[in-house]
Amino acid sequence: MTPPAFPSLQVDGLSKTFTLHTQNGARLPVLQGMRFSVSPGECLALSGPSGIGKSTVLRLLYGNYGAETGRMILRQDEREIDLAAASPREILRLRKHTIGYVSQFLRVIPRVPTLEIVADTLRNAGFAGDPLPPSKAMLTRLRIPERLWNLAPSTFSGGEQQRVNLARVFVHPFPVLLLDEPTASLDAANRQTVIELIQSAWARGAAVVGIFHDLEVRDAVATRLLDMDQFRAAA
Amino acid sequence: MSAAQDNDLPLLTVRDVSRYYGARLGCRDVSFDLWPGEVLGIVGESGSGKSTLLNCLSGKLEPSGGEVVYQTRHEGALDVYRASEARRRLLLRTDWGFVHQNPRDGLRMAVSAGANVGERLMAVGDRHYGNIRAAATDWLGRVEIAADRLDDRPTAFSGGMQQRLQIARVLVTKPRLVFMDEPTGGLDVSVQARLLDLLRGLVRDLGLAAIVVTHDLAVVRLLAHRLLVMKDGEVVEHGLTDRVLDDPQHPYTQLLVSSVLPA
Ligand SMILES: Nc1ncnc2c1ncn2[C@@H]1O[C@H](COP(=O)(O)OP(=O)(O)OP(=O)(O)O)[C@@H](O)[C@H]1O
Ligand SMILES: [Mg+2]
Repeated sequence: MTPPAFPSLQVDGLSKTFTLHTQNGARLPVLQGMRFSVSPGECLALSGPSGIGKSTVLRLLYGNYGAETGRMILRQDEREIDLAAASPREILRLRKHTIGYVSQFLRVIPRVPTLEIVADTLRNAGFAGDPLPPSKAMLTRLRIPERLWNLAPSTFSGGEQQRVNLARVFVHPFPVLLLDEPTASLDAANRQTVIELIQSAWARGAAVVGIFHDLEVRDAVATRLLDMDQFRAAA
Repeated sequence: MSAAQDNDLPLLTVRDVSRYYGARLGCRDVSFDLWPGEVLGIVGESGSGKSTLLNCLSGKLEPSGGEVVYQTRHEGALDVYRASEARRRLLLRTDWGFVHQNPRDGLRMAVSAGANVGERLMAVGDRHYGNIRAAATDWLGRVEIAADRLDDRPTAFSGGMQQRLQIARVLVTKPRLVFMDEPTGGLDVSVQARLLDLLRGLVRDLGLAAIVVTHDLAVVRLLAHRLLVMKDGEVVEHGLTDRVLDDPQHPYTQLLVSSVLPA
């Protein structure tokens, strides 16, 4: 059996400035020459004060924002992809199979039931077999009561929506995980579950980059800390 | 699956398509590729050339310059405007579908809802009455038109129902490429959502490709993989949908995104 090839990330010279054309072309430099790497089985926690650009880094890695300069090399199966230069098709393919992103907000088609949202991740990833049993198992693990499974999450509480968001990412063993405050609105029991999910993700070899405001969570899941202050762009 | 798709040819290749109305510009120098299973959104204010472009792409309006090349199922690449009129018509009937902004332009108002859907199936060679009626009922169900309305004419339907009927009529033959001009414009939010979900399923499961013109940024965010932003007949920004919406670069795109409630 060949060992599974786990991915690593290497970021170098990453910069990002926002130009606000609707506000007299104001320039907002955020990141300058950012550099870090994440090995398989690591969880890198980005740290720094509000507004320093932590979420921006995750969005750049996910392709949601465009990099101004720099490279973000994803190495997997002896293949190298520069996420900063990848085509939209390439990014979309990576999002289906390789890179999972837990954002702070759930964004879904209004009427689609919760269970389908979770199962869709598996369908998109080409899961062989019935995607419903693992989807139900993940919803159960994150304590979404069964009576909610066939409802669309638009009316759910903040914490419930956040758990649907987590379920739909953790249901598939994404090799790369990007987590933006994944426990922000969760109670203690669910926080513990998420800690376990993250720990088992890097334990299976995933490369994880996250933002964890809760220090207890951060201490439990992070294998390394990156202080972002050194990459603060001069305004 | 992804390895095979890597080598797939684009379904539609668009190069430098321009269209002038006399001296007036409709659209200029538009180029892109569209692959199976991909949805391309086209946004821009009214008069920016969206519908002109869509008509040029879909074989309805000959461009003043440039080319539109379609990868056929079995006969290789077809230059849409160098093909014969007959060939182009056949394509529109079999492989392509067009959803009009005004459902009356896409429906036959004098025949029943069931016939509107069944007719398209017969046009591609289905002759079995039972099959046709069953398919028509199935598709009306998918767009949430009750089976007991099958024999009603579209004139008896509301605007939203007419639009759903038009969409069923187009999708029943399982086209490979669908063009849509403001397809969800007249629909209420919940039907719109159902339709978006339906389209997403077809895109994922059947590899349907679509080009959708809309002014609704919430719709493109949920439906389109890539986005073209048009202004004054030209494409000012083009890329991954969520990146164009969340990190817009062009001043016009920033204006467009900032002038609506968060999508
Ligand atoms: N799409 C955008 N357009 C313009 N400016 C943006 C955009 N996204 C982020 N910014 C700006 O970039 C800076 C960094 O924001 P970011 O959200 O990355 O910070 P953060 O470190 O995650 O903060 P927090 O801890 O509060 O979540 C902020 O000044 C923010 O206003
Ligand atoms: Mg943040």
